[in-house]
Amino acid sequence: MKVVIFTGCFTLVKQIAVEVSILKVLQYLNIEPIVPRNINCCGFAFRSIYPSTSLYLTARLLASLHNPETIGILTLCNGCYLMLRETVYRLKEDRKLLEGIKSHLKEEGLELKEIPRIIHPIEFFHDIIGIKMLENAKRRQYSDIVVATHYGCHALRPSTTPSFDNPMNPSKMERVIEALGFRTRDYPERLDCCGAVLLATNPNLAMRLAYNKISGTSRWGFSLLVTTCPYCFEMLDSRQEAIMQMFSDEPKLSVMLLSQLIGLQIGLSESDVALNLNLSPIDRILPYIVKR
Amino acid sequence: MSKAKIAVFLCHCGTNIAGVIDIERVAKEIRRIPDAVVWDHRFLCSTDGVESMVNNIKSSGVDRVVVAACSFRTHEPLFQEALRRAELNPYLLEMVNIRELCSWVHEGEKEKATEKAIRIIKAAITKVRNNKPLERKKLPIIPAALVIGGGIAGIRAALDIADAGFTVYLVEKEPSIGGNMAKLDKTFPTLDCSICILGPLMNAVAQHPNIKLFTYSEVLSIEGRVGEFLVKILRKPRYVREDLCKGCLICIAKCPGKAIDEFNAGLSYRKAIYIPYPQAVPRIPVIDPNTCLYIQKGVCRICEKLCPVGAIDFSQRGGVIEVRVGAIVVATGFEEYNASNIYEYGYSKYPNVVTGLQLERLASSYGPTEGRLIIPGLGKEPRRIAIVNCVGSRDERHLPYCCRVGCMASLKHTWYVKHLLPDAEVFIFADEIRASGKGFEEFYRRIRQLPKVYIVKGRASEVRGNPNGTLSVRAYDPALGREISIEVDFVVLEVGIVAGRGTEAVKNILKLGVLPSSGFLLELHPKLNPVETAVDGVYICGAAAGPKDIPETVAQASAAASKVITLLSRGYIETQPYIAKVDEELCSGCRICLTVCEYNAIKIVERGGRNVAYVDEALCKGCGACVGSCPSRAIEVLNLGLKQVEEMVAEILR
Amino acid sequence: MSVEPRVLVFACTYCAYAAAETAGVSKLQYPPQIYIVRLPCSGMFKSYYVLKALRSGFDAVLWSGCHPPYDCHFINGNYKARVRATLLKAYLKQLGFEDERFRLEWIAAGEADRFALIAKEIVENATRLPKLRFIEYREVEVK
Repeated sequence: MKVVIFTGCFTLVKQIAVEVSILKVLQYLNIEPIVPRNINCCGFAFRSIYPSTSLYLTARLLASLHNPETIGILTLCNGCYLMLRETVYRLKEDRKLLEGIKSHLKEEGLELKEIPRIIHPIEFFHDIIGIKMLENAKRRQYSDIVVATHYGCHALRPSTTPSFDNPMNPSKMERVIEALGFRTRDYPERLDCCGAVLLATNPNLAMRLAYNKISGTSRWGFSLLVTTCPYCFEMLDSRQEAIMQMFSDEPKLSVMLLSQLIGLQIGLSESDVALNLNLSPIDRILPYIVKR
Repeated sequence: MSKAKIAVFLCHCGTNIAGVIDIERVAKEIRRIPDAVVWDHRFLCSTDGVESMVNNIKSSGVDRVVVAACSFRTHEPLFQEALRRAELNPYLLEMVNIRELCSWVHEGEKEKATEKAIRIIKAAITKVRNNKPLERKKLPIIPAALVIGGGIAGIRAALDIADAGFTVYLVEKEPSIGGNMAKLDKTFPTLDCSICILGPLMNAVAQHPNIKLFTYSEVLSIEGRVGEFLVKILRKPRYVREDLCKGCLICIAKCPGKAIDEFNAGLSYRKAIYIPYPQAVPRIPVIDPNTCLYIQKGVCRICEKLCPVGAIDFSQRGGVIEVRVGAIVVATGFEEYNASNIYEYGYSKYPNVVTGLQLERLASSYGPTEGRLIIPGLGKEPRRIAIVNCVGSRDERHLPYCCRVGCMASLKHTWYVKHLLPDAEVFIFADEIRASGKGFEEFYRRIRQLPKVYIVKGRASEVRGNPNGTLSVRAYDPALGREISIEVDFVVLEVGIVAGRGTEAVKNILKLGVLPSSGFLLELHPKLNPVETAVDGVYICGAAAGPKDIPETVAQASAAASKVITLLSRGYIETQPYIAKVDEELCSGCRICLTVCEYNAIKIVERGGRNVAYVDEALCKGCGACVGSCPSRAIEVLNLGLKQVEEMVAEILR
Repeated sequence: MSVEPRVLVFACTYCAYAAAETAGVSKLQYPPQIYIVRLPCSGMFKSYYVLKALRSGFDAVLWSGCHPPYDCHFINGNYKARVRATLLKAYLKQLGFEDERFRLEWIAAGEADRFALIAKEIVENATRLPKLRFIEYREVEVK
């Protein structure tokens, strides 16, 4: 099986762990990743100011990433995932728009032969790798470790654009984590925003949102919070210390990527999944998960 | 047919017609038609005009009549009566509207208007030649009615019809009548005790000589037409003989079975043999086969041993009974929307989040707590209560419409809380309070002035649990311009309402229309025929026809009942004369017309070894949908036949 | 035959025909080249009627009924008309009739002004159309 990996900008410049860990996991699962480097912006940055520019950028990406030998495009970032699934939905619904986009692409010498499948990492593990496979691959059961899940807003919303799970009450990530041998529990802050999108325009509010998310989640006594999106990871992990200091609080929530957790459970080492890059206090939980 | 002679009457209508159209020229042109005789009159609809019309028809021996005047809508009955008096079948009349469709709209073009008048009169003459005498047939009506649903709407309708002297079959799927109103503690805005005003009506139903009550029963199928419906009713086995049971309820005491009590909205448990509530009508217990130890495991039979009259009968298997009625009232009521579908309000996730109907049961003196307001599962009294309005209602993700009772219910529930726990604080989260009924605004003011009652203007966005068991209700407050969060220990959701479970089944059985967004039954006309349906003889009332409160429901039930009484007391129905007719020679029996007929008026019958379509004249409304669909030109509407339309079209431009 | 266009309107009793009568009551003027045939419901749609009208010398045909979704007196005759009209439209095109020759409109009983407007419009459009000429079967054979 082959899959195209679309890293997106933020993974490349900041959250390298996202790419490193998922490539290692794919290697273990015998899936051949195709990682094109001649890519453009997913268009997310222009989504609200220049809708047509952003639509074209995304469509251009679809045309250049599409590879008929693969199962589709695995997007590591929620922002890219939103743009790609939204564009795919709009192009499928609106034939006229599709024709227009195609003619513009032609001027550049590109061609959108067919619309590829867009895959979210959670969807990838839940639907393509499968719960059974993960259950068999896991090394041991941790019934006492309760994991909080964080989907990230753009994975599921806006609810009018189809995505991989129920936008009001998603459950696929929980099932993946339970298959890995951990427990999960619903908590009120589960679908709250991490604040990353406001970082440029209203940093104070962004920090407050992130603080509410982190402090709210840690009230419930979770051992670990797991996410897939590099932006959410940036807010909840990399900036956790700074955010907590802003509100005179202590970092208290261990945060890990889903691909890191899977990597550890299938026997990869800490450095394989780039755990040294996590800045949240994961030392509290690591001794329980990693077999030294 | 002998050669027809056609009388043409031209009306001047003062100057309304004659001021534009040259009547003399019209008369001259029409007289050229060999079989036409022409008269004109200044006001044809005057007594004098009609009189001369009758005389002229009689004396000239014509057998078809064309009246060129005004609208058929207003004047056709008058001129049809004139034909009747002249001993001619009234359906041999054709009216041409040369006023609204000609003189009035072409005032500036007299020449062309006259030409147009001539052409359309000629077309009408061509058409009327092939008109046939039609009859309205009288069909008998069975003087009995079926009422589906034993809530307040069904009870009121059944009592009204029965009081008028007709037999009523009242079918209710639950073991007792009473419906949702029996679950309420009090009613807004007067705070009447709900069961105290409903109970007497329920007993009146049970004792009425004209009402046959079928509880724990469902309608299986309905066939036939207005005046003659054949209804099959499934009687589910009660395992208690209704003819023997005296209602002493000794059987219930020792029953070891235990199940969730549906009547108390899941807040308590009942036995396997039970009555839903103390005032239940009929006061006859029912055994729930899913819980009964004897039915499930083959041991126990304690109730059988205890019963002093031997009414327990485990050999009951239920059965189907048939009744024949002339009219049907559908009153299948409403249900609360499933609040678990609304993830953000945490219903079924937190024990201290309840629905409005659950609060009614908590406040009720015959509810699970006997009227003490305590948080279910926690067993303590709440101190701070949030009431969330529009739960699911006016929300495009769930129910796009307003439930019409939630706002007033929230005020009533505030009163319950303040009445039972005077020190408690109540927060109502509402976009606005819709208090548009009689006495509603006054009630709103009264509640607003109670101490420690706060009405938060802003729809609750989320109900969030806290680790200590309390709940935070969040909302955007437009007055403050920011999000607020209020910590409470009890949340009541005023959940939107949807059509009752039985509505879907009845809709399919009777082929009624429903509103696609909500499942509520569709009336014939929202303004002018609010209780009739597209199916003749079937009437709707209560919350099955759309969200409404109790007074509106009762008023609509009485309206439906009076429609039924009007129909039944007339004793017969007249078919409408313009029905579709099948040419059996041409019909190939392809059944396309069956699929387009909305009234199920077409059946396939065997004629001379062939299958052909047959139109039931009592059901046909004469819409002509079948005419358009027939590939064999085998079906046509009487007096608007295929040939008539074609000839008319061709004649206009001849 | 005059050179002026002739337009035939098939109108359902409960909406479109009522609108035409209301137009009369309000004395809204429209061209006299409009002829109206009353049918019980637009659901009586038969393509043959339209073809017959065009063959008889009418330059354009308007089929009118009640607004979807709920106005129809006969539940959903207007939907049936719409389905069949769409098919007819495609067929007329194949036969070489101009698009303006046949039109389907929903006109509510109260929309008298709309009826008058549509009547004016359709006559105006028909004026620009050439007269229809049908080649008789015999003529074809001779050639």
